[in-house]
Amino acid sequence: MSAPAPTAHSSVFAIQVIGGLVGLLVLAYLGGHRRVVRFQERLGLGGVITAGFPFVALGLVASWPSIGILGPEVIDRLRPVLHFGLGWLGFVIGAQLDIRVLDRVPRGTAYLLVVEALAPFAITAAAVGAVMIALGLAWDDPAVWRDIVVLGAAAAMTAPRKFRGFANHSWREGRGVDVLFAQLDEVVGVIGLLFITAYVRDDASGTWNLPGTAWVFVSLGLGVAIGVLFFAMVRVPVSNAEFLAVVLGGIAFASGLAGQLQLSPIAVCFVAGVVVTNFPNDQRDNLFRILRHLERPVQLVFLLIAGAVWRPDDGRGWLLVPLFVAGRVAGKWVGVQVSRAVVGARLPPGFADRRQLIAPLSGLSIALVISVPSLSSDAGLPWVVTAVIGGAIATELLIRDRDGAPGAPALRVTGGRVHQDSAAPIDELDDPGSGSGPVAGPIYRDESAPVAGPRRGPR
Amino acid sequence: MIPLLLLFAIAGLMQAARSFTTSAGATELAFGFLLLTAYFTARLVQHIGLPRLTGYLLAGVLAGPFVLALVTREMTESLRVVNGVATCILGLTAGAELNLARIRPVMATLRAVMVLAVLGAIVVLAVALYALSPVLPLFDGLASGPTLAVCAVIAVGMAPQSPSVVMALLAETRAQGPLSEFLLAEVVVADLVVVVCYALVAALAGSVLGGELDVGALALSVGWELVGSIGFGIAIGVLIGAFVRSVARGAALFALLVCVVVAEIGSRVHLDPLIVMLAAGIWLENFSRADASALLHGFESAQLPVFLVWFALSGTRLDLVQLWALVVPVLILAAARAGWFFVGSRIACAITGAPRAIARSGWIGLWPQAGLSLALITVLPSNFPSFGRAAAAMILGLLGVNLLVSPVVLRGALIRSGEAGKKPAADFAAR
Repeated sequence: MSAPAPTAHSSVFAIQVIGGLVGLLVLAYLGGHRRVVRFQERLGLGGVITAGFPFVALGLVASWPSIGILGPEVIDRLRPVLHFGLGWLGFVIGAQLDIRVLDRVPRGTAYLLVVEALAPFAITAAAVGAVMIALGLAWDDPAVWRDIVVLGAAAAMTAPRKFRGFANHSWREGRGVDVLFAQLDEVVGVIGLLFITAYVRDDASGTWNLPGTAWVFVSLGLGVAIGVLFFAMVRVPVSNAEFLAVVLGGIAFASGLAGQLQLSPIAVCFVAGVVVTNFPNDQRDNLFRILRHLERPVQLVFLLIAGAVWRPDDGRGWLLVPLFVAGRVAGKWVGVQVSRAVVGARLPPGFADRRQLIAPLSGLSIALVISVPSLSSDAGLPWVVTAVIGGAIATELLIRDRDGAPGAPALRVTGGRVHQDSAAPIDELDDPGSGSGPVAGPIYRDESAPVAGPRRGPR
Repeated sequence: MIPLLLLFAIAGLMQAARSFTTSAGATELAFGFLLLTAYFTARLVQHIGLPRLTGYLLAGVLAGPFVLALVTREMTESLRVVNGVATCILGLTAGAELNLARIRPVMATLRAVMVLAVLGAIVVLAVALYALSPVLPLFDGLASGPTLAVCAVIAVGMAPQSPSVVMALLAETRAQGPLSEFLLAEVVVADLVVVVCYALVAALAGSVLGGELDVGALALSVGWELVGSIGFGIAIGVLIGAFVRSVARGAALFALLVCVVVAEIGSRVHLDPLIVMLAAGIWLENFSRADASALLHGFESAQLPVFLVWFALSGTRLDLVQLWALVVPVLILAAARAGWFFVGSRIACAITGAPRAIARSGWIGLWPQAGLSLALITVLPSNFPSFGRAAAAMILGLLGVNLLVSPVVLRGALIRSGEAGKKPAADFAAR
């Protein structure tokens, strides 16, 4: 029931909104239509942004002032959904980290990982930051530095999986060393976030006055406490619907607690996820099934919001795109060279030097960019969003050209030189416990494999 | 024991986090907290034979702003979007449960129940309120004409039913059969009847009370809300049907997107999201060429979190102190309402020769009260500034009693009817 009578103004608004709604739904319809999906598959589009582009477009259209569905006010109202999504993402990354896998990676991997993450971060941040300041942003503005750090972090993270679009199949997981590194990249990113939110925080609105290091321990302690709580909670449900309620509620509660304490929901939920899946737990399969069920909707919400805060009409953002892409490739090349020179001899053959230079952008990068507060008031942030979305599209198209076209060989680094490798082998880490399969972390689990039902049957 | 310990742990963490800052927001915190506490409270009350729904409501009442204040009024306000989306999902699922072909044999009973039980209850409640008016402060200083007008408005506000409660209990008991179908149809149609009644009575009362209300504007508004919502809902139903036919994959996600959009813009353009999605569901089930059963099955199986949050949020709005202050008149009115539903329905069933199960238990479906009454509580103070707030408090008191008592009775009736447990369990992950 709504009391006020429709006025002329509200009628115009109603027509606008209904028009916008129809536009949105038509876009969603087209995005999932069989022909569009077939066309997308023919083009070989499987990256987060290209395959999910209908949703980015949806967000973009919905944010136009003439439609006004996803205006700044609504985006602010959607912030809790965003927080939930970030918490969910952190939980998934944590839950997929099977600590036993770390025992099986060769010595020197940590060095490789840090250098290969730091080089793209530093090169991209330096190049893009210089251009942003040259374009007129104040170098002494802390928001600019935050944007540069965010952009560098986004550049450093690569995607472990392929995305198959709106109404198509769900994520398709990759395999091999690059995928392992992509997962560990994300873990490094999460740990970085843990420290950033502990040391760079505004305590004015809070009542606890703690030093930055104490906030690191608060984050870890909260994550462990929630993990233990989660571990106990998932043993109660007797049906999948109840399991869904507990998982949804648990992640929302954990994200909310983190948000309330001005900590990173990604970092806190990551710790909780690690605790839940690394304790002996007969509910792991059920947990992953629910997490997978929510994976695509959460990713689509990120894409929708990314589209809504995207300002593609600002040409300065597009100037950053080539720098972003080139910075990532150059950074990766530098990282591979340095790590090959320093620890290459200690690693198994092909581990340090047969690496993909062009890797798709992680979904976490997009989440990271749109999770920055004050999306509407930060002058440089629209450029950053354009750089990340444009960079992701450009990278995914380059990968399509590399992998998708028949006979197109992969671009690889071997022996210090970039060359094309027509064999395009996929490196795999053999799991001594499970034969010749890939690493036995949950991320490698085959989605089509049958999973056990709930511990007890539904009533 | 484990649910109780978990409840203490969750409440402890919530209390600790809230000691850091009292700032508004924290929507996802409130959402997660209510979801978990409602679920574990339901597990506890199940042990003493109460419906889980009572647990959801109790969790909301205890955690809400009037008891432990772990969930503040600002938090419940910030969950309005979640509540709106939940309402849309419930509406779509309820509409899709209404198969007109199966209801046709009891259509005469349905019509008679609407006239005798629902409209009759409005009259009975108005008379009861008029009889109580000398002891109720909100009628102080009113002449008999305006008193009658105010009684009529409040009586309409007290009459609505709750498709959500009926759906939640049908889902909980997995009931399927003629009584279950009749109950759902009855409450959906009764809510529409009450919406129309509110438009007429509010317009009439406005003219009697003099100048407080723009009668034409209200009539236009409610007309737009009802007819516009149905029209818009049919359009949504056509769209979802087209999606299911042409795309199929991702239909549940698409329908969820539609629910979010309808919840977000519905109130802005003065459409009722519940009616919109009810109409969409009815269209899909009865008129669309698309087979939307898979889509609706997906919605059904994931509806538990929706119920948990929706009812826990309803619970947070129940002010026990205020209810206690009005306990005597509220109990009299609750008895009059339930009593007339029993009498009116029995008469309607006897006249139309309804099946035995419907004649015996059909009236119980009319008893629960939730969504529409809550909406009326919100609009009454703005429509009638002179008495709206006091009337809303009284309706809220009645709603509290009905919400806490009626699920127990309805669950018992469904179990006694033999329809409980006949519907196959719907688990999305089992597919």
